Amino acid sequence: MQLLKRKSIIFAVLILVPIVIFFVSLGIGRYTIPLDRSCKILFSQIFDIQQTWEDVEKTVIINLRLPRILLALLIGAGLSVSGASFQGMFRNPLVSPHILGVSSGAGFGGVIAMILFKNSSLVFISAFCFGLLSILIAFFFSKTKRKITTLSLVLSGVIVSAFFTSLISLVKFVADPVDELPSIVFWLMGSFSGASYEKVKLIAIPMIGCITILFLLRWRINILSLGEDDVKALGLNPNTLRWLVILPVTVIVSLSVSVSGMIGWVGLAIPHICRMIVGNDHRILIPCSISVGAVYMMLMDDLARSLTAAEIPLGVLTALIGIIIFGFLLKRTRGGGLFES
Amino acid sequence: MKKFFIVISMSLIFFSMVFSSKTIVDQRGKEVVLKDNIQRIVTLPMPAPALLFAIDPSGDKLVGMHPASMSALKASVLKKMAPLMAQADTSFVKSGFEVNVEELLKLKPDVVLQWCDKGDKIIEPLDRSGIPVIGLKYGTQEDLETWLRIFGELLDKQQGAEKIIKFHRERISEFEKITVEISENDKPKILYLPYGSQLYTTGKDTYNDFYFALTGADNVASEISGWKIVTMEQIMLWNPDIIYVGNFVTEMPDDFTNNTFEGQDWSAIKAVKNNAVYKVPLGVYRWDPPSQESPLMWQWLLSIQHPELADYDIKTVTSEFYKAFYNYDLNDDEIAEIFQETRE
Repeated sequence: MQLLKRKSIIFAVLILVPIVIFFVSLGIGRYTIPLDRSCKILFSQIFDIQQTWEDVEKTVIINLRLPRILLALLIGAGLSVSGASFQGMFRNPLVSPHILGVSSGAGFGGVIAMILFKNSSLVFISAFCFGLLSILIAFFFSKTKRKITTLSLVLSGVIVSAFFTSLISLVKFVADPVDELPSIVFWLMGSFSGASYEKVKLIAIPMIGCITILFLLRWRINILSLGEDDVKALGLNPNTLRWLVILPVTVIVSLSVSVSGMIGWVGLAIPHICRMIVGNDHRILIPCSISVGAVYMMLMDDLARSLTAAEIPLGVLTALIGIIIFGFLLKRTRGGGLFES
Repeated sequence: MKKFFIVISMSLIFFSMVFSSKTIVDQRGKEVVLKDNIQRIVTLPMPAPALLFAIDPSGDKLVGMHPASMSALKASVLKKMAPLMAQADTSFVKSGFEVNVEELLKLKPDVVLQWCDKGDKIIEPLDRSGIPVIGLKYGTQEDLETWLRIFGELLDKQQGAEKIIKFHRERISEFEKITVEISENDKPKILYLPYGSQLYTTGKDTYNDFYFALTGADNVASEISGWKIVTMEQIMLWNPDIIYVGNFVTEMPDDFTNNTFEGQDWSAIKAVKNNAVYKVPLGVYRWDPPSQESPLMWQWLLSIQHPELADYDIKTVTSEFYKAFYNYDLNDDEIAEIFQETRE
């Protein structure tokens, strides 16, 4: 009974905090709008509320802030849960969702489309397709004697990642330094500044779908993290199970690179931070990663767009602040690693 | 009498020996020894060909340039004015400034102009190649004048360089006299977007901030420094009266007034409501950064920001400038091209 109560409290917190941060984020920005007014503007979209605000304020809240916050929420949750799943599956705390080269592949797909087509929807499609292509290449390299080990998978991921990273450098090299290079560099740096409802619509369903799959697999990830023998002992096929984890992660990473460039450190640091809070049990670690990832990304984007008049690159903030929190927690919990017990 | 002739001829020989080579101090502060009669020049800094053109409109001495200079040249009226320049080689360098030295040597340059403020990595290999290297930096009116002087010495056309510098200085003091009278309240709030919808803008300590102040405008981005990316929300907060779209992108004012950019909303901005979004003109080089045509940029800005103070027709002024400094008669199509009245 005590345990059940504790569990329901944790779940309530994990659901409530992102909602609170969502509304707080709506009230944060360079254009000062009080929190109550920004909430009213939001609810006026659904309910009939008498207009007490200026039209500009509505534009800021509905057209600029809301899609950005939604995008940050989805991608933060996605990258973080991907990281947690991968760390469990690979039984390695140093793994991030970028380990299999998906983000480099998607990054290359994006920059090549920027040079060839200069059309934002084609950039999205190309980035997404190259993300999927890179996992196929990794699969091809790792497959030996009809068997795939985690080691060969990680190694082929390193190959794919290095391959596409050098292709990105090649594209940067041939790009026109005045016309094309700045937009490529800016896109790769990672930012939600291009957020729009079109992008939210494009990614929302697959993103939520993949996050749900990982959430449903949380118990099986626990078994995967124990090792191959235990999986077999329970009558499950480790290969099938692995691909059940890898595919949704691939989709999540490809989608996030497609709409917001490469945002580092979220998928590595947030699962660790969660592990220090709730422990190693993936049944609680996975939902915790979803919630904390979303909160973290929303807060970082709030800082990126409101701290100074100039926009601060998001990747800089996610890495810098993530590392500080991570280091602090590491010190306090005396390095609560993945397989300490 | 015989002695006198000997002295004269000796000194002539002496002088010709000295003057068969010349020394130019570059922007690294380095004394660069060059041969007297420079015939083959290679440039890496993007605006260099256009500035060389100001000193020597024939353009026949420029044998190599950066590919980005070439694409700027081909997009401007310069391709017609200096057809020889358009034949220069660009194969020795790609998007960065790291030169393939052997490819460069094939061009047999007498001198190479390279950036000196973008790291030693790009200039040292050139120094080692044995070709005289003039290091350059860019960004202020002072740098611009230094460039013109250096190019003047390089091509033995010091007078031409001084003529342009004098023209610039006269215009600056004229403008200062005019704009000092304008009260702060009458200065329109302007926003400059060099890369259009990427939302880069230029704050204090930039050349752009300098000329916006010079022409009686209030640059909204003065609160930040250098080139920075800002958010759409920040622009709504600034709410500029006038927007200038730069020449580093192909985006046009219509794209802003029609609100075509995903994730951005320009409809509430005063400049868009009042149809005051302008594309920066493109002369022999982009008018955004410093060049010999900068005074024309200032006059263009004044005619938009304070039409009551601009008692001239900017197109006539431009034609006169081209006649006076390049000895070139612009036709109506070329003028329309400079002021980018139509989409390419």
